[in-house]
Amino acid sequence: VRPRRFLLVALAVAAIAFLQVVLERNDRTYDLTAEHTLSLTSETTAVVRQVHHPVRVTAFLRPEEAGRPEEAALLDRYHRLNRRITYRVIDPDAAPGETRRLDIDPVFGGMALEQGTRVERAPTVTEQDVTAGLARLLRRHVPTLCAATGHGEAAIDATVNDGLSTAAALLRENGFRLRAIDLLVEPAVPDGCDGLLLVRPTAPLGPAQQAVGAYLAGGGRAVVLTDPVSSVDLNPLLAPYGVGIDRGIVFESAPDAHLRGDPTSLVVRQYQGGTPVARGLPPTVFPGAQGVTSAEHLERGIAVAAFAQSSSASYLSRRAERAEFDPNNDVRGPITVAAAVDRSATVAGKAQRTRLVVTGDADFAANGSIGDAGNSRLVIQASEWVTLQEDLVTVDANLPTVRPLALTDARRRYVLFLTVGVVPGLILLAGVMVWAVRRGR
Amino acid sequence: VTRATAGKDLRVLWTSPIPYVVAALFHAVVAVLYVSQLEDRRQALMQPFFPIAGFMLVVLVPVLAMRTLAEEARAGTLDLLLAVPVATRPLVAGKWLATWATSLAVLAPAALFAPILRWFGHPDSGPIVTGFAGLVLLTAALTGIGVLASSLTASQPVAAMVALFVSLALWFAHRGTASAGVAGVLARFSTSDRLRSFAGGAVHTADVGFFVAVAAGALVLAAAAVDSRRLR
Repeated sequence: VRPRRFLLVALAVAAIAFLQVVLERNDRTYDLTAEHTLSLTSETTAVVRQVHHPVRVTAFLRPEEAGRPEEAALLDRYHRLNRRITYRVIDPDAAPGETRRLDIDPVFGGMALEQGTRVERAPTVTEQDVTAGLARLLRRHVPTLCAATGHGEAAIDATVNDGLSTAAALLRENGFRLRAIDLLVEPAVPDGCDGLLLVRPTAPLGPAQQAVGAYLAGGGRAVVLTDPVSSVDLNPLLAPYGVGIDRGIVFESAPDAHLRGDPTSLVVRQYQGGTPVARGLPPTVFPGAQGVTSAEHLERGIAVAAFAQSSSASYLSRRAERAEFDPNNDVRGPITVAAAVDRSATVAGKAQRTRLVVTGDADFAANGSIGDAGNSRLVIQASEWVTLQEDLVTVDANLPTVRPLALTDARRRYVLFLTVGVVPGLILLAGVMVWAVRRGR
Repeated sequence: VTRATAGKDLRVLWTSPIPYVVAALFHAVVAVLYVSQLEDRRQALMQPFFPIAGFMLVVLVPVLAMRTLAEEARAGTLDLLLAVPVATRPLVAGKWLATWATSLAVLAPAALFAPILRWFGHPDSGPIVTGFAGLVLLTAALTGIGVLASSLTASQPVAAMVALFVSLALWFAHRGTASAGVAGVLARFSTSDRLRSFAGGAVHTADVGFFVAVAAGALVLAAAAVDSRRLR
């Protein structure tokens, strides 16, 4: 009898284990949070469904890092959505060989996504970075951004405070190829450029203006970062696209809309226009900006999204030395400091799409400020949008709502009295009463 | 048999001081730790409550479950029961049911935190519902382990210690090793990892299955252990 019973018990336990394995393999998740914070966005889902070849994600996180379980859970959601995506979380200190092979900084950690021999890297394990990394793996073409030089523009290899070396490194990390083009020597935008970076020219563009104008008219795309310190008039270049530069400097009065003690360093927290350039963007800091205007009547096929504005308590001062509003010369806020232009046209039977991102400040992208708040993300998203890689910039994680708790000292004492005093006290009292009743019998 | 056993065990349990002391201890400790979490975070969040309550259940459920079969074995009433043609599985199920119901009754007053949070803020009700559902399932699994441990010995303290050891091992299973591959496998057995999903507001069918499987597996083994006694 015993062996038969033993066999039956073993079979029952094996059946339970088998059922659990089946459940693990066919796991379904029900996200009951109000903001669906435990679900991937529809944009991510669309990208993940395009993965048809195995992708391995390696996250380098130390065991003591606070967000490690959440980041592992995020990667698990990708795996559950598409089993071709596998992941592992490893300690960079415990796997120096892997950190070297995947070119990850062992101090800061990060993440590598591998598909065959291709590797994409990202600094953080967030939905934005994972999805952007996947999208970069999926695309075949590596976009080239051409940085204009020759007219005093900020240089992509300059490591000084107002240089662009950090932005350039960031863009390379995000899968862009960067190339400097001297428009003074050769006033033409080469064919291989998927986008043009025109950052704070300080000398008149001369023949280069015509070259850039022709490039844009032919469906070119550009990120144009102007700055109050430059007196170069870019309005003739921008006017055909319904935008312009309103010279001056924006002074901000709203206390939460500028850096403390510096009313010209704007902090933009909310974005308008619904453009992918600003979607999911954290606050950005513009240290000294002029205005970006948009035409009242736009030509057919042109859409302008004025996505970053100062507050209604700000004004555009025409004279920077005067830090008070002059009703005769100055312009009351809100002042637009960044806009995105999308123009679709059909030329000789061929569709052309021109895209421009224009800002009234260039310092936000310079070495001195790109590390502030969401500035680096704005640089990446603007570059991705102008080069028509929308899937990379529309990802916006479902973030939880902040739910403040009004817990004053008096309320805390009341809660503790109720939960530490009254509830256990009542339970013990019930026990004593039961004991007394039993004793009475 | 299940209902009769459960009814009898419930009466025996609730006329002993154990559930009252366990419940008072549970609520006092959980409340102090949770309120300090609320104070630090200043957010209307129920999420920090669940791992605290889960760990306390890991420690206290073995105390509630220790007497289920061990006491009967020590007093000789189990042998008496087994001498008559009573099926073992309903007997074990009844004992598990009584202890599970007692554990849930111990846990129940903690639901008071939900209206308190609503009073002072606007918590997300999704994670509150899923978190408590997770605790209910965790309690079912822990009770199963407790009943199994109690079926293996006639000593209540030994039963409690064995159940506590197994429950703690499962709670900390995800921290078992530095090796990524082994850690991944062990994490699948981690009750705290499973509970974390519930606390966050997500219900994974695999997590529900895990707790049910642990409880069911433990009860199958407990029934086998009692049966082996009948055969002796």
